[in-house]
Amino acid sequence: MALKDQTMTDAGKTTKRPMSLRRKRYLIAVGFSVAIGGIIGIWSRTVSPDVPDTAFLFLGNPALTASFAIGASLLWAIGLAIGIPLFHRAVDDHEERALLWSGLAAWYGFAFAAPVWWLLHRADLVPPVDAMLLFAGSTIVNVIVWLWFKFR
Amino acid sequence: MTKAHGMNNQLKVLRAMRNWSQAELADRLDVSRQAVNAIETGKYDPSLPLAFKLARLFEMPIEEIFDDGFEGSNHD
Repeated sequence: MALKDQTMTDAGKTTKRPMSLRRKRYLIAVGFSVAIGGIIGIWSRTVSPDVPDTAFLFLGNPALTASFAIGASLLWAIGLAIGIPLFHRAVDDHEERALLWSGLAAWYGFAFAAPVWWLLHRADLVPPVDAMLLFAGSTIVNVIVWLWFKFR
Repeated sequence: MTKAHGMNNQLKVLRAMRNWSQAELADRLDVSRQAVNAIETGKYDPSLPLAFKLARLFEMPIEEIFDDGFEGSNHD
């Protein structure tokens, strides 16, 4: 890191600190992920203009065109395959711990919900198991726990 | 001195002695500002590599920056 370029002012404040390689990688990984999500989201709106909103498109199970389904699946899978290593090369110790706990919490959330839903459905007490709702639920748990460990 | 999970540290004092902001220390350690804040406030104990990095930066032994509270572990 080019610390000699830093200029000390008062009370520890500095001017023009060069961005570290780790932070650059972090921003690139986040930007890349946002871009992939954005492309899928915008594309989904063009192929399904009648569906009220994008969240409903993915969680409400309306029909999709084959080209969009294949294209969005490829974008998602390839995007994750590229974005995950990029992101994990950029996180520090502290965030890595947040990610480990949030991932575990998300798995526990899934482990509680999925078998219960499946068993209740087998007795015709609830609708069939919806994988995307389980995914959305565990993602919400993941994000909440990550935010807690990262920013509390 | 900040206490976390039974672990105390002098990070805030050492940083203040050098007039460094949390962001500046984070840059020098190549971690996020949140990481520095979490160590200072005792919400997170750093990994051994990060503890060594801190020791090198402050030119002090690790045990003078971190103290697990075990009697005899403080080398003052």
